[in-house]
Amino acid sequence: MVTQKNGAHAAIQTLKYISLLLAVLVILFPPYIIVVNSFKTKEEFLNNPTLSLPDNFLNFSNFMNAFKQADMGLAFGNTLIIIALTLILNIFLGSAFCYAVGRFDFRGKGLIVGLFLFATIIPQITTQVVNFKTIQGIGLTNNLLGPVLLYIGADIMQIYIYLQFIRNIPNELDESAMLEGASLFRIYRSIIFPLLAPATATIVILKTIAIYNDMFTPYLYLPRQEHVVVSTSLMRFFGVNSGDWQMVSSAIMIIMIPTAILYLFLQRYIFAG
Amino acid sequence: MYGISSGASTVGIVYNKKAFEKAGITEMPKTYDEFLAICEKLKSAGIVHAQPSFVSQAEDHYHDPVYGRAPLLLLTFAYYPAVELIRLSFTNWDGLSPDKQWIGWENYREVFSNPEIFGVFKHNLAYFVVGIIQNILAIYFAVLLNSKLRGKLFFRLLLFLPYILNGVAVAYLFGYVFDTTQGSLNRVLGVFGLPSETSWLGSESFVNYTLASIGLWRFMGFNMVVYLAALQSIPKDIYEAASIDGANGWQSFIRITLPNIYQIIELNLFLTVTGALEVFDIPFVLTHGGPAGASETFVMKILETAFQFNNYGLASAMSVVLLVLVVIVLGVQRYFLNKGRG
Repeated sequence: MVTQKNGAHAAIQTLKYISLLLAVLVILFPPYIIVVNSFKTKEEFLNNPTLSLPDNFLNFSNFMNAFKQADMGLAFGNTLIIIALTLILNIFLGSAFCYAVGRFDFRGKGLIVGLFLFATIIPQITTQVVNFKTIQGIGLTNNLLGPVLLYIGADIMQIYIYLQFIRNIPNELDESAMLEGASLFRIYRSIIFPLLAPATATIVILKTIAIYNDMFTPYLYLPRQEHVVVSTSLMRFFGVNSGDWQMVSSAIMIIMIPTAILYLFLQRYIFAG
Repeated sequence: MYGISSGASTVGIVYNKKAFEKAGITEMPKTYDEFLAICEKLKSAGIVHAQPSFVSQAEDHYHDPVYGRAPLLLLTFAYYPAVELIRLSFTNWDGLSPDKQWIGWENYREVFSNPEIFGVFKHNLAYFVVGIIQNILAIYFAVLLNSKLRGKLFFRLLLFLPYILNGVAVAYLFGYVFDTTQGSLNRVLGVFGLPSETSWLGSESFVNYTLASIGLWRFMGFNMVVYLAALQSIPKDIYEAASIDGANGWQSFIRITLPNIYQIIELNLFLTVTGALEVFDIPFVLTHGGPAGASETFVMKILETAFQFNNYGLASAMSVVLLVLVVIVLGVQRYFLNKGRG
């Protein structure tokens, strides 16, 4: 009886692993194809099977070409500017707002938090028709500040993370600082904000990845070549003939690597969110 | 955007001077320095007070620039467009001319009577079906990774990986996988002796399922991590008590696990349905709606109507319809799930 149960247990355990391995295979298959083909020369690509390894893993010529052809230097620069500006403004706004909401009671507080919650069900994309006209109206289309303005708004997840952290900061800290004559802004700057650092780290990473990966906003608001960002730089390869897959592959690699690295090294913070 | 099921997307905001002036604020900090300047003002006011006066003092802050600002941003930037959208949906505005002629329900009649507009939702159905499968898989793997298992951190890391990759890059990646002649999927099928000539993205009958499967690849890990977080918050001793009472694995799953992650299932389902209604990026990049419009989604239609045909009135009406649909889905879901829970 016992051995039978153990046998069944082992079988279930094996099934678990098989299903997990299957999932891993499905997940890794597309990136694998990209990795092996990005190192192939054109002849190799045409003559060897798609799935085979490249002859030389040090053949970086595709990467050079892709980088140049898609103007990725410029694209990474622009993306970096947008992300940096957004983060500075967003973190300040978001944390200050949560400090106010998390610490004080005031009329309409419930309403304000409720409004944030409700806003998440307004599909972002539906309001673009109006948003586009407004951004155009204040002359921020074809300007890196346009997307920044669209990104700095706090989303519900950020508010949720910050509020949870603020609740865990003991009130006594604020009170003793107040007794010593610190202003509210001083308290925010010297006590609350530093103590929020882990939450800020999580939010910074999540925001960075979200902005880096967003194609829609830059596509709509930054159509000019000089404002190309990482997501839109890749779109230049659209309609490329399939003979050039090895170059497209390396372009995809270039774009995926930064977030993948960020993810692997900072996953602790991501999963904290 | 299908990415809405990411949960990490930002709430759309818009800058509107007029609305700000109405709210009594004529200057709006455009830089971090200006923000700091306002904060300095606050600081120089020298607010020092002890605990008991917290509430009354804070009420003053509500009207104060910094604490009032964030909700103000939200109101002007997220709700103003929604209201403006409704107003525009009753006009025939072309996006350029200063006059917006009021045409009543004409746009809405067009949305519902023109099969080329409302019929597009047929394509979104595929994303819904695949989204349900995606959630079932996510729960399955979440339960697996919540049990005693060697290497579960590694598996979690890998299954979540697609979620953080760039959407355009993922679209191209799958463009290659699904390519008919050069495509790696067909090559693999060929190796196993299966039909390898399938035109995954060229068939009107299943192009949407092909595209939706990319969404599954991308977002399953995200759903899974959300479920996993919920599972980890269930106290372990409930399971122990159940197994002492003789419950097997399946019974504890049905009786303990599911009821405990009810709210999270509700949340994920909502994200799945709205995600299905709002699909955009993958088909936009990969097929541009083809072949013959078979993979066009409703959001693509909206953008096309507005920015290519300059029919802002009609596009606004379509947006409002989408918005209302999302609210209906939320309402229906809440109603049935609450009823089901008793």
